[in-house]
Formats: sequence, C-alpha cells, structure tokens
Amino acid sequence: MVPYQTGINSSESVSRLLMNNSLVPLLKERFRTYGYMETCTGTFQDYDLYSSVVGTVHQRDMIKTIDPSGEVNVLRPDVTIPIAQQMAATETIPRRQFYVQDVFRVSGDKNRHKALTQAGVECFGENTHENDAEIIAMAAHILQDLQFNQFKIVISHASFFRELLNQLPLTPEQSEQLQELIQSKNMAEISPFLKNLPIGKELATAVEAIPMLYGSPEQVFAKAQTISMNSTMQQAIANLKNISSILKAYGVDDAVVFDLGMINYMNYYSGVIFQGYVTESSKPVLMGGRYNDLVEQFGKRMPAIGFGCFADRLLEALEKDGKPPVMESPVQLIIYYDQDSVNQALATAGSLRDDGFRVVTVNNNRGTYPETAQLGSAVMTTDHYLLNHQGKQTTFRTADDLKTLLKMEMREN
Amino acid sequence: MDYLTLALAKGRTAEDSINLLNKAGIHFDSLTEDSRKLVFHDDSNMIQLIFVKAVDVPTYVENGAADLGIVGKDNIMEEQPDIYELLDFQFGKCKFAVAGFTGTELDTNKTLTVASKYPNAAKKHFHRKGIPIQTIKLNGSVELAPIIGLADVIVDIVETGNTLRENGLSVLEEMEAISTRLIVNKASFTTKSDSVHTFIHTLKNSLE
Repeated sequence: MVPYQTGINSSESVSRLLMNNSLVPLLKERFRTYGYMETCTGTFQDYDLYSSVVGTVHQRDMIKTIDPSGEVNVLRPDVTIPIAQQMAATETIPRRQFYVQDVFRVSGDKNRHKALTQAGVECFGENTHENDAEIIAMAAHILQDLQFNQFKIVISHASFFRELLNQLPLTPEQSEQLQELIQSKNMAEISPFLKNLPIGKELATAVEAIPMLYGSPEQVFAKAQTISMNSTMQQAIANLKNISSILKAYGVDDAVVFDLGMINYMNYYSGVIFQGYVTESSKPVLMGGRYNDLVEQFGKRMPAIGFGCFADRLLEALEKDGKPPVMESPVQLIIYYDQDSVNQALATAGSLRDDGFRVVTVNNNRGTYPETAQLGSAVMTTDHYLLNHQGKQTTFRTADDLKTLLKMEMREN
Repeated sequence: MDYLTLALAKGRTAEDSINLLNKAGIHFDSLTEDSRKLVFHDDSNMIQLIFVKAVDVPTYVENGAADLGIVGKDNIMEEQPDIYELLDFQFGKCKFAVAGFTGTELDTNKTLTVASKYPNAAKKHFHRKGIPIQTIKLNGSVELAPIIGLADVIVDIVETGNTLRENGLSVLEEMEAISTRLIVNKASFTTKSDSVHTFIHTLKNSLE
C-alpha cells in the first residue's frame, strides 16, 4: 500500500506547523478585516455532488471511499462546492465567508494521495464591479502582507473567449485542442489550426488575437474592443474596465495585469477570473473568479465570487524567498530556582504566564537549560532574586517587579 | 537585476540554437562545442544558459528552474507541460511518424503494441484515432523493436527516413510536424515580464 502523504516534501510535519501557526492566522486575520466570517465543510462529501456539478475537479483526481451502507463518498476535493450548496440550502448564514481547510487529491505523478491546505473566501448575493474589485484587491493585499518582492494578479474574463468559442464549428476534441493552443499562447500553431476551419476572416482574426491580449489595461481594452463581436463581449470589456478603475482606488493597479488569453479550466466561472503569481513559485499561488451560475445548480439563483490561496505553495515560496514565517513564539524567560525557593519560583512563573509571558522553570540542581530565552533569565534563590538581561543584572522582590522589568525590556527591544 | 535562465536542449538542435542566439546579439563566454561545462553566462544581457537533456527542458521550464527553454516540439508533446510556447524557430524540422514493416495494418481488432521514446505522444495519437494500443518505452534504437518482434510498430521522429530504410522499415503514417520552439514558464512571463519580453522580442526580430 502506498503510504498516505500529506503534502510534498519530507519535512512534512514542520511545514504543517509553520502553516498552522504562522501563515494561517495571518490569512484569517486579513479575511476578517474585510468583514468575512469563518465557515467549514465536512471532510466526507457526497460523490454525486462532485460528479454532477459541471467543471469541477476531475473524477479521477478525487479520493473515493465507500461507507458501510455502500454509498460512495469523496474526501473533500474542493471547498467552494459544499459552501455553495450550504448557501443554497439555508437563509441565515453570512454572505461573506472564509475558510481554511485541507483538500484531498490524487496527485498526478506516482498516483499518491495528497492533502493540500486551501485558504479562501466566497462572497454571495452581490454582482457588482465593486464586489469584483474588492475580492481582487483582497487577494493583492494578502500577497502584500506576505512581503513578496514581486507579485502579479493576472485578470481575465470567462465569457469573453467563451463567446468566440461558441461561434466556432468545433468538435469537442478540436475545442479542447484550440483551448490548449490558446492557453500556451502558441501563435505558430493557432493560425494553421484556424485556416482549416470553415469560418470567416473576422472570426479567425478575433480568435488569433486572444493570446496576445496581454499587458496594461489601456492596451488590452483597446485591442479587445476591435475584436469584440457582440454585446456579451462588450459587457465583459466594460466590466473589466470598471474593475480596473476601482483597483486604482484600492492602490493595487501596479499589481495587476490583464490577459484575456488566460482561459481557466474550471468552467463554472461566469465573469471575471484571476490568478496570482509570485516570482518564487512556478505555479499560481491563488486563483478565483465570479461564478454566478453555480449556486443555481443547487436550486437557488444567487451570484457569487471567490478565490482560494494554495497555502502550501505560498509557504514554499516564502521559504525560497528567505522569509520563512516564524515557526513558533520563542521562550521569553527562564527561571532558575533552588530547592528552598520552589514555591516562590513556581508561583512567580504562574503569575507571569497568566499575563501571557512564555516561561520555562528549571531547578538549579538539574543543570542549565540548553537554550537561551528572548528576554533573559531570572535566578530565584534564598539569597537573592536576580534578573539577567542584556548583560545587566537587576534585583527584584516580587512577581510584579519582575513583570515591570520584563515589560521595560520588551519596549527597549 | 537577476539573470534570466535559459535551458537549451543538448544534441540535434544545439548548434542552430546557439547560432540564432548569436545572431540576436546574445553571446556566452567560453562556449565551445566540445566544452563539458553546463552553465554559461552572458553578462551584458543578463542571461544564464544551461545545457540539459532535450527531454528535460520542458520539466526545467514548467517548474521554474529555467525561465525559458529552447527545445523540439517532440519533447513538448511528450511532456505536455503547462507552459507558454511562444515562438517557432523553424529549424530542427522533422516529423513524428508511425513506422513499421510495409503493409502492417494499424486498425485491426487487436491491441497494437507500439514502441517509442515518446509513449505519451503515441498514446495521444492512437487514442484520437480510436485504436487501442499498448506502449513500450524505449530510450534508443527504437527501429529494432519491430524487427525482433518487441512491438508491431514504432512512433518516432523521422528526418530523412534513412535509418528506417536501412532497417527495412517504412513510414506507415505521418503525424505532426516537428520544429524547435521557445517555451516560457508562466510565472516568469508574468512576474519577470520586462526582461522576458525583451528577450522574446530580440529573438523574434532576429528570426525575421
């Protein structure tokens, strides 16, 4: 049996801790500052839920289990779908939700099972440019928070290319082939591909232009205008223009670039779509978009938009960037005591801990503690109470004295 | 500014690739044909060149170990990497082909055994035609496979067809045309856009 693997490299458990202790709280805090509330979904999901909804995770990539009654379940391969389902089923839950949960997939190589942490937001019930821009600005804000030297959010629109695709007389196989060519910006092969199709010159020129609709908003919108063929495509451009101007107000316009050749494989998207890239990762670290038709599949018409961060990729990128998040909060004080001062020492430690100090206590008879503490060490014996800090020695009498000294020390640092 | 890393396929097309780079004003010091060094630099254009096995170029680029790569379409089709494929250099031209003994039937009821250095490309081709196959991955002398009965046919790249003829085989079916391409990592294209775009532009101009 192939062992269960939670992630990608051998320092698994360390990565998990880093994730849970440093990265996750930071992401959660950022989501909360935009008014989002935490939600969660079950680990076991109905297989039919995923196989019936179009354009989600591929069935062969899901991890399936069979429960005692013979029902097929999957280990949650994605979080958005169960959240959308919950949303359709209840009235009372908040419309701005965030989650940090593991998703489970069969990884492409070696057929191994993988758990990957996703952190994301979903916003239901609004369908405005402002809402689109808010979500993209939040994604940029997170990459700013993590202090990446260079990052970019690439923005596209799901219906712009889809409109063109719908006008082409393609077999499903040709359609897939064309999408592959566009996704890889393979100009050398797109022209010959289109020449073999019974289509007009105008349509061919439009399709050929798609992969190069890349760059600053002004350039992209001007070029997109010239190949726009109907009102849906016009609306897509207008939507992106509005989003672009609101992103200026958020001050993140430098962090975004438009690429209408980015056509996403998850085809439940209906409006703006985007991916976040950082120099330290060869794959996108976050992706999302508007999916106004998904909730309807569960019986309620409701617009929605969201994005998810691939937390494992973020963590890897931070480590490559030389900015690994701090693993743990270090010990602040070590208290050494002699046998006769055990009561006073442990009472003092308890009082410090109640105030949030991180303290280790060591009986002098047991030797010295192998690590140093951030703020220094205290010695409590029948002779004296001494705080050793920054090469200085200061005596104290009570736990409160000690707290005052430590707080001064923290201010000086 | 950081170096851009360019992965270049060793072998068949290396010389043409270097000539093209030179023509575009990109020169690497101490680059000679018989050198065993694998890493070279062009400090004025800030480009680092690495020589890797052709089949590995797509992997280097997809994973961001190299920002750009110059490699044959055959290797791209085999690896199917998620990358941008931006330029066709029009050299290193040849064809993918199904080859075997003249008269070998491809579309029979039984599963065809196909030997190839390119099992994925072979599978994709026959899958599209609805012919069930079983592949055998070989790393060289693929022409031997039908001769000694290891496989019914082979899928390989064919330039002149001489090797096939000398071994009594012939092309049974032509597949895709192959030439040398410029591939780019998607994250590099986006986050190092200035230097990547300059490089692409320079190469493109020297092609015309």
